[in-house]
Amino acid sequence: MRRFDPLSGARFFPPRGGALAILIKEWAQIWRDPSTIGLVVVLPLLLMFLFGSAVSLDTTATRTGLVDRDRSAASRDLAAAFSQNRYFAVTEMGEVAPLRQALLEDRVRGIVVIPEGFGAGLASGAPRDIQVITDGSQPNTAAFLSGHARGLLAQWSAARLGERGSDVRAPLTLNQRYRYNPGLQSRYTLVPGAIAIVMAMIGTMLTALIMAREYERGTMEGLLASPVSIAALVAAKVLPYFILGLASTAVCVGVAVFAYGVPFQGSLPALFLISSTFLAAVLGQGLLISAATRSQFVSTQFALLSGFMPSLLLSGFLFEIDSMPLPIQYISYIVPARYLIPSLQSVFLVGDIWPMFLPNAAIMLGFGAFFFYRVTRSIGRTIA
Amino acid sequence: MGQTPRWSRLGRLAALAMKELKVVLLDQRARVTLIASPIIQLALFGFATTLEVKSIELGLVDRDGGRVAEQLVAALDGSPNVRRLVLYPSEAALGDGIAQREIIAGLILPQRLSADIAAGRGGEVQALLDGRRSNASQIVGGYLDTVVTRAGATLSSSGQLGARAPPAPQVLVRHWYNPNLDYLWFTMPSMIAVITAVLVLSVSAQSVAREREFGTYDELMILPLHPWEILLGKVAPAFLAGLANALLFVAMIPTLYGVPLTGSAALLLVAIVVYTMSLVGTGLMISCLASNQQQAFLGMFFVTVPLILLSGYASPVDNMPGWLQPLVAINPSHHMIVISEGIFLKDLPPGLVFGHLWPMAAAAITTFAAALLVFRARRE
Repeated sequence: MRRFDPLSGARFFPPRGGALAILIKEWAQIWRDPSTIGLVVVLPLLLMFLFGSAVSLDTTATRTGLVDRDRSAASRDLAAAFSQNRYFAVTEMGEVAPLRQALLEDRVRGIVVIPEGFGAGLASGAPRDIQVITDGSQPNTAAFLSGHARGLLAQWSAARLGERGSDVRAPLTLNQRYRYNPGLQSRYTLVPGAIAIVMAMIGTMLTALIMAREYERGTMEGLLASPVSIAALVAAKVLPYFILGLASTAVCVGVAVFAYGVPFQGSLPALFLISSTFLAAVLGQGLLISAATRSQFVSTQFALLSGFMPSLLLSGFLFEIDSMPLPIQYISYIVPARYLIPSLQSVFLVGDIWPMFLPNAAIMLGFGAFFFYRVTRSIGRTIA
Repeated sequence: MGQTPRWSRLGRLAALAMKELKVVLLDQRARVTLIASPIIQLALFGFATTLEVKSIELGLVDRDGGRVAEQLVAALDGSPNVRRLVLYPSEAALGDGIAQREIIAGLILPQRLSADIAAGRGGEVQALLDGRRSNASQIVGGYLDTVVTRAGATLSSSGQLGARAPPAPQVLVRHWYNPNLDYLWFTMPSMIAVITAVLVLSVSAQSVAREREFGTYDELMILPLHPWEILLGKVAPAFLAGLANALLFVAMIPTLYGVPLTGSAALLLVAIVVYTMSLVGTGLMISCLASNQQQAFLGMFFVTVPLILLSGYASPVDNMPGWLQPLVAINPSHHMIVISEGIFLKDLPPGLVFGHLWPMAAAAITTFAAALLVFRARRE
């Protein structure tokens, strides 16, 4: 038996099998480039690992400076409460000045100052307020730090008064329960989102090169001269990337579940539906860029700008779409990842929510159909 | 070669740089992507980067039917943070609303809540939040807590509970460098580093790889120039494009977005030049390693994503685990963000700027030297 060589096979296909021959040629071309393995296996691993470990919105212990100007029993007790709290990593200093420098140098993110007369004020019923200074150049950390400081002081005051026997229960309290993610780990949110980024990357970026490469090397005419309809040509070119995309998705899902322990509550058919419709949309987007620009250099620039960056920033992955200015919210409607990420997060954390999956899948499929139509038009025009 | 006068060598280097610039700028679409797109990105992605939570949609299940609901609805409806408040008939319906992302959170008022409060027994409101959006729902949770506590205080102010408690000390918060915690003040200075990185890396990564794919690599080698001069000429477009855009951003950010530039602009320009050089070196190294444009593009992506994610732009460096911190320490984008934030907001003194400048310079030298080694090794 001869070893199967995909390229030699192409010779034996009669004209009607032309689309298949192109498919085989495309597959061989991908497979012979070592960067493909990098793309299908290493890139997903790298991205999943980065999003799982490096990107974290869980503020744990913020480095905080503390100055106790009072040094009374009450102020020492409050300082100890800050030191023991899990949201603060406290460095105590006698003066504010060195901490001011530390704040400038990013060594601390906040300063807590307990004023003179704090203990006396508490005893006399005219309490003095404590001061918290934050590093506003890190707004998210600053907001959490000041919030946690308020919470800590309120708890501390209540506990203190409780010891003295007065009943200070607030008349109305709130009991918060977080559905689907009780431990509130940002990883559970970010890891499914990372899968979307990997898919957007493979979909847009690689297909952005394939048509442009044929044009640039002058081999596009050869393809167009083959007895294959434009639609079949496009389909044959794109199918290998669709399979690669699904393979990468599988790698990502494996990492999410087995390495990061993200629960998978949904079903595989649901996952397949939402990921394959998304792939159709982004593959079409990349192909269109490729066929329209006909230059690998310009294509890569466009793919980065219209594929990767919007998927990262305008999809609701890291930043809430509802909080963005209205014009930007409108723009986000044409980012396919916007329709994928909520579904992907849900299929992991919640389960199969078909009323949410089906409309999103339909929209993504609509994107795909539109892009493919535009691609065949844009290629077709050139032979005339 | 040794006898060639210095000026003519420089002239040749300049000629090569001009030729490279022309190759890139010849294509009209390339001109657009290099010049217009960074500006569009600054506008689009700068405004998109916000961890604030505004215009939220909330749900409410009122089993109590008393004054508490009235009080809460009034407080929430009047708030600019709340876009919509939906009443649900049951807890299950509320749960479905969260599952389908109609609302981010919902409040459930138990039966006899108003009566309990009136009688001074105190009550508890349940809040159900969407854990899929972990950061946003934590912020919403904090907000709801404030609203509910305040509503309770209003309801019971007439009498039984809370009024007896002595006044408690409060926290006075001051946010330095950014008093209103305006998120744009944080994102805009970081965007300089991020957009420049994407632009410069993607352009410089293609430089040598393109010659290799087109088979013009050998022609490059017979130029009467040293390999390092050839490389310098190759990356001139990437360097100039990066620099031009970064300088434009420095001009745009204070004028259009109102972010104060408190520090020395000259120092910022020095940092931008060094940063762009470190990016050019990195892109060049990738380009020399790649044998075609696709590989160069992939290599560029392999580097760009970690560079951005470990820079402190997408999430704070403080939250990253300790074993990743060495990678953060060698990441030029991280140092550029610190310098940029520092000079814009904190009036960072030169000594501190220098502390972040030299790692970028070291990265520039190392990557350029590595690119040169690979370039020479692969020329046979």
